[in-house]
Amino acid sequence: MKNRQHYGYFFILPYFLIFAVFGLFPILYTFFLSVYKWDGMMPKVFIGFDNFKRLLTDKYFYLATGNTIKIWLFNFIPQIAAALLLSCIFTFNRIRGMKFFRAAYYLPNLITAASVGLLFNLLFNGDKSAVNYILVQSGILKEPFAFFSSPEFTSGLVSYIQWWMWFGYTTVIVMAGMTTVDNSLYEAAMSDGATKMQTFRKITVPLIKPTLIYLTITSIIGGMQLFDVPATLTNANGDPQKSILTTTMYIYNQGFKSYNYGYACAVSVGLFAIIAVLSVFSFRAMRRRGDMYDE
Amino acid sequence: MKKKALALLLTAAMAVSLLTGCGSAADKQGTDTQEGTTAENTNTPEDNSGTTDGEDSGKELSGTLTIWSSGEELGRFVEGFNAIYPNIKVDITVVPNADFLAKLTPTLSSGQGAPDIFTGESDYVRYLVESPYWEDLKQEPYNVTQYTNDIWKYIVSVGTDSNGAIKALSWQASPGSIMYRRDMAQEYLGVSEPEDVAKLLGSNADMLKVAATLQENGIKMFASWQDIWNMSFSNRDSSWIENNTLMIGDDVLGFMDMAKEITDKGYSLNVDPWSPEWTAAVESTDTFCYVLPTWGYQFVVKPAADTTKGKWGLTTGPVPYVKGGTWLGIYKDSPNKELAWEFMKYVTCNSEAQKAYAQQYGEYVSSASADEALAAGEGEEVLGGQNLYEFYNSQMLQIPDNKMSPYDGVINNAFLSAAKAYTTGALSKDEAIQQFKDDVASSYPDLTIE
Repeated sequence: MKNRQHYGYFFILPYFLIFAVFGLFPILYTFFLSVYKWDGMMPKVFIGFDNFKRLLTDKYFYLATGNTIKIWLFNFIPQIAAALLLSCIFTFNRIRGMKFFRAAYYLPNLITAASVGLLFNLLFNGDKSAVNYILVQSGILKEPFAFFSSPEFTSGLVSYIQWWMWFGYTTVIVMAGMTTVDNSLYEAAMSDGATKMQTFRKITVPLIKPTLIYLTITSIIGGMQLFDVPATLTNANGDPQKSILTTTMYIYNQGFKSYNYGYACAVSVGLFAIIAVLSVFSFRAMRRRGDMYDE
Repeated sequence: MKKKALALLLTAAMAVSLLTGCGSAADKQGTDTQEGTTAENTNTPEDNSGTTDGEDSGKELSGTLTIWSSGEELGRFVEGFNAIYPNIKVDITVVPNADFLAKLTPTLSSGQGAPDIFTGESDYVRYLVESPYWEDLKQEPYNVTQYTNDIWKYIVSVGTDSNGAIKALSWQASPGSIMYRRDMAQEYLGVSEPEDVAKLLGSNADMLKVAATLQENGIKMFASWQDIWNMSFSNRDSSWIENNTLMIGDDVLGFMDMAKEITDKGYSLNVDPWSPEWTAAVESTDTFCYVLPTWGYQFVVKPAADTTKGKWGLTTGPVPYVKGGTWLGIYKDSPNKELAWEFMKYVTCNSEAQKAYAQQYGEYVSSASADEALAAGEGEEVLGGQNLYEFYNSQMLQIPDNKMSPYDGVINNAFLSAAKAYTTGALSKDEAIQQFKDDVASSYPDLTIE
């Protein structure tokens, strides 16, 4: 009888094995490498905290992190706003073809980043790009505009692409959250004379707070690791003027283009710390105002 | 978010190959079309197997050879090789260029699962040549010097390390050219033959004069000013790195000014190389030329030319140049050195094999005798009957010495990025140079930067 109790461990063993090999080991190895200087070929040289000293004064690290946060904010705020709006429309009204719209909004999420990069290149890159052609032909612009020479435009475009790719996903999750809210609460509020806006603010939002926390934290983690779209959009160095150089691109370039593996690991550790701090911060911030989890 | 992480990994490779403008990206893009168009060509390497050396011992050698290559082309030699050595199995793994060193270096440093032969593209071949992982082919039993007389000197010099050891050779050579439109030259410049056009392009100032003439007629001279870097790169006063110091000479600064002038006056399409519009310029009605070496014809112009077939020509600019290429060498701890050497000899030192390969795929090869033999053959339809081997042979005799450094890939990207910021007016010249220096310092902290 006693043996039986151990069977459970065998069933969960595969997960932990895979996690140990593909999850835990790389994390520990990253911490390990971050105190070495290594180009991948020559023997590793232990240099203590030199990589971290460099990290603290590395203007490109701060620039990349700033870019990443900026791109994330300009993508996340509109994303949540759009998701809440669409979810309200779909949840509180009977819309014909709702499932179709939901699927259509979700669709951009399925396109690979490389295709998205190419698509927006065709639209904006060069004097003869589709958008320039339309703007010049219709007389809105006299001269073609060099879109990808403008840091503000390019950075905004990345935010827009991220929004466009992810707002459908966010909408689906928020809608799932909203459908769990008990209808009788709304009915009670209505009969007490609450407006739609009041029910939304006082009932819907507090009750889907766990969903919003989940979305915020996963979005921070994903957003801080943003790589594919900015890397495919221009020259993978974050041009123009490094305006779309994200932290992960910087890690990639340090590690896999310049072969400073040690320093790339140190930057990774830095990014890890930033994500951890932001996650805790947002978790706290969301919890403070709510009452669901408070004792 | 797992999905995002996965997408990140999968796209990383594509991302970089899509956007880096060098021969390697071209190789991948060009390969598919190339194979499609030459499928009907019946001239396979086997036809020449009777004349290759080493055929007597061919059947005795057996085993499996593991090769890592950054492009598909090396695989095209396997059929001909197996006709002589039927018992050697050649196992080629193609690793995308962008990931090549990242995959190779940990394998080499640990010694586990390393290939018998691996390639190195021009962006980083000097890094591999100066590292201790390729065999010195001058030593016994290779004695490569008995073959190197027939290989273009430049190819050998790139594969030779600072101690004089020959570590790597190539089957291809990539001398430069200006690929121009004969019809536009005739209409706006009054001449169309390569010799005559070359006379108009004798110096940078002359090129800009021609650009101004074309501009008056609504023609952009260059697809991208960054293409001209191929030419200037090869003619710099010094390599990027001398004595561990970053070198920024007056010629490099002069290039920035020329790029600025081209942009300000609208002599180019305002796009980066390998962007869709840049590639589409092959079939355009308003773009005059590409400044690209051999691979530019093979992978850009030839596959895309349809209505412009016969309207292209190869000519020379102010200076001859050379850019790009893929080298290969034998891993120093390979257990199959004998087999590896036979394969390498077949690919890089065998004039007949290279000739057959060049005939089938239209690639310019490293064996001088093969290129000379092909120069006597028919010309290219796309080039209006011009024989590309004849043209490039004359270039090969004039190209400058090799000025490559181990870090050319990253440094070139940083330089072009800074130059571009200067041309668009986002940065002043001094700021652009400072950005370039900062970028190089960030990528290679051990270099001295003045």
